[in-house]
Amino acid sequence: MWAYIIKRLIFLIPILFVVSILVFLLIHMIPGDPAVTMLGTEAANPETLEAMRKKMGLDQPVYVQYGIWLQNVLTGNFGKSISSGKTVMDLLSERYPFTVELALYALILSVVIAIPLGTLAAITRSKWVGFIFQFFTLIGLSLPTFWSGIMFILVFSVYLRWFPIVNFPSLADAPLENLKAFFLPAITLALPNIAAIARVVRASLLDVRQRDYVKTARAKGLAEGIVVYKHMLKNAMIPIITLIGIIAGYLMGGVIIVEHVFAIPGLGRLGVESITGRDYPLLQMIVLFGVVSFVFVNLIVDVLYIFLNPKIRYD
Amino acid sequence: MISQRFFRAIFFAVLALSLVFSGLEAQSQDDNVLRVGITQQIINLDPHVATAFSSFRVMEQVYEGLMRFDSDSALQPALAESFDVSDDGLTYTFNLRSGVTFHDGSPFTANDVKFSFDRVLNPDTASPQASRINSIGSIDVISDTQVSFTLSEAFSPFLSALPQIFIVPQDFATKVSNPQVATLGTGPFQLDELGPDFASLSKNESYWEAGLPKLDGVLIRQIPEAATLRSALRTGQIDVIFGFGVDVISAGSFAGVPGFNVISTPGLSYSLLGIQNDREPFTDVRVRQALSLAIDRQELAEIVYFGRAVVAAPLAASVTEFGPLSSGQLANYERDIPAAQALLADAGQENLTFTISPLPTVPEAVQIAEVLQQQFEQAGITTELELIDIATWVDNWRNSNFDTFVSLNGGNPDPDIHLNRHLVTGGSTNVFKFSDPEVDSLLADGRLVSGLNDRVEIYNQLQQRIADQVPFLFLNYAEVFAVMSSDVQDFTLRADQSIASIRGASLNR
Repeated sequence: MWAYIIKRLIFLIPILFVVSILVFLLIHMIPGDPAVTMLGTEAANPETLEAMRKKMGLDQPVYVQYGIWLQNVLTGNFGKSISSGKTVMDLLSERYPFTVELALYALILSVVIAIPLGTLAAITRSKWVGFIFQFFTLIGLSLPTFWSGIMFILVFSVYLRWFPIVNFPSLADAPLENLKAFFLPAITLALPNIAAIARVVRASLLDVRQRDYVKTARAKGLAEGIVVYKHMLKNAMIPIITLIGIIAGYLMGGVIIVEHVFAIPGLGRLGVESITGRDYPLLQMIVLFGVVSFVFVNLIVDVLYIFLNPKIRYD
Repeated sequence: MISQRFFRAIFFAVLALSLVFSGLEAQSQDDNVLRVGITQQIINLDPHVATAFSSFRVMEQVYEGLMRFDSDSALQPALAESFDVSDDGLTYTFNLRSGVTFHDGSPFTANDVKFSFDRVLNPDTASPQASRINSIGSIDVISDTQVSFTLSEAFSPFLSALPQIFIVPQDFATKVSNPQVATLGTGPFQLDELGPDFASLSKNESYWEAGLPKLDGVLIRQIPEAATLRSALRTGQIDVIFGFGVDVISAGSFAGVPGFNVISTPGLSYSLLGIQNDREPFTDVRVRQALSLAIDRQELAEIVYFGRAVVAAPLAASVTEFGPLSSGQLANYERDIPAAQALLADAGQENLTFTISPLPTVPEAVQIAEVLQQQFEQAGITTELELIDIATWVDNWRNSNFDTFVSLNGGNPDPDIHLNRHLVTGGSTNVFKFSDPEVDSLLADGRLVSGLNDRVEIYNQLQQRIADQVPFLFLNYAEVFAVMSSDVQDFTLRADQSIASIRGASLNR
């Protein structure tokens, strides 16, 4: 298994290389450059613009700019953000804790809520429960995040005053206040995922319900709880884990809107800002950071399969 | 049975969670720190390079110029105590305020003034401000408290350019390694921290204006979503909101709500329909005049700004000393569809069709474009809206690659700064490619004459010429709004959305 993990990590290198070239080309292909965005209306003055381009190193040909960037990265220098002047590493380390916490929080909420919910819907025989479940998960799946986020703010923060908005104390200083402040954004981000996971849990449990080993377990006289938990749920887990893995990857993208609505200064917002500012050293690292996280999440999912189903081996 | 247990477990989990959370109070806040919310990202604080709205809101608390605008946009001395202008209008001598120190305690002297202006004029700085002061021929330090500027030609807007030339210490380069993120000025507040989405400022204890600032600090916080910005104010987590996220509708939602005050002031920036004068058929002045006659600026103000805007003459109504002209005094300002159609027929453009490209970052620009589209339609002119992303839009704008566009132009109290670069032949923001010898000569005269009455006369003539030649359509000057908790005292918003008045504001929690 270790050999497999190392092989997967080695594959990362060509992926990162190709992605970095793509990002570089794309940002140079779309119109506008960082100097123009920075100068605003003053960019119309050709002398000011040329001076600014020279200051930013944009007067060099694209491949030279890429070469300089690559050389710097390989020697551990990730460069400076063009628009803010902070180093890219400073910006990433300042921002990523927000995003990682938000994504993890949302993922935990999704799993903790969706699995019991889906299980409940699968084992109940009531038609009404099934209908209500289908109805609400469909709504959960279709609500746009920006709308549900604003509604949550209006209802729970402005009207009921249960949750603060805008202030995010650090997890280390005030863990409970932090979890409280992040609850609304996390649940907003989790909502469509709860619906998706709960549906898969239900479908997957219904699939195993009639299997022979479940009948055997019941015939043995096992308590219903043990049958559901040990025999049904564990065997139904593979598709669920696959979905959770995909969701975990996409959460990094989903944070963009939630960070915007809830004013969380995370990586998603930094990414959008780097695109509008045509800030390619920054955008490069954000995209590469995303690629690395995505690959890692997938790797973790693949390794989890082994624990869930010993028949799967990667040797 | 199992489902019962599930329900019970969920019930207790929710109960436990709510108990834990309800025990928490919002974090205690510093009572005398004003929390200001804006929607834009605070990025780049280099006093001579930054152009963003958000950058200026922070910089104007930290830095000061020789002169400043008061809350009525009238010029006042700031770091200069007084000044003399030679009779030929070429030499300006400033007597500097003594006893002023920078935030690190070093004294402010004439050498700092010379260094700051040299930094702006140095091509390596790439300062957008340079073009406003490049009439300076030489800067002479007479003594620690006296400095004189000799201009290469008379330039009456020189004084009006000074509030934006922030003064930094002469050893700025060694003391501040990265001026994009760190500051060193003489202003009422100093920068403590520039966070990912906030700037935290604290009181300058040795500020030169007696008794000011009254606040212990200011926190300028970015909240990108306007709905969230309003919610933060409503729940008391922000004290003041203003800027692009606070338009007539969101300000209106606070009108009459107890505990909140809404203030507004006529703005300096105006909406415009930019026209590419060098592109057929707009090369024909009759076509441009027809466009001006085909639209109803008052109706536009009613629809887009709910009447909280005025018809835009070339000069802002809020700058009273230059006396705005009414629509009746300006040609092509009253809507007249038959006249517009007659002009188009003369020009052979009965079936005029063109595109309008609204500035994508300003929601009202799209609305304005939509209203104009309908007004043009009524005059038989067909238009198509073109919606593109901001960087592409700026690129097209810069290269004059458009038929027409809708955007906002930031204004200035000085008529020359307000108009010159947009209208003079080859001007830096004359993306309209407009060129008219009479406008050019009037603009040049306005710079040479220094008496106010003579300038008013010249700019009246200029405004009439502009209305006649229609380089682009001045549409509306909208009011700007700020909403604040009633705890906030003496906070005012200037026509250009400056909040420099914070130095006199206080909190009464």
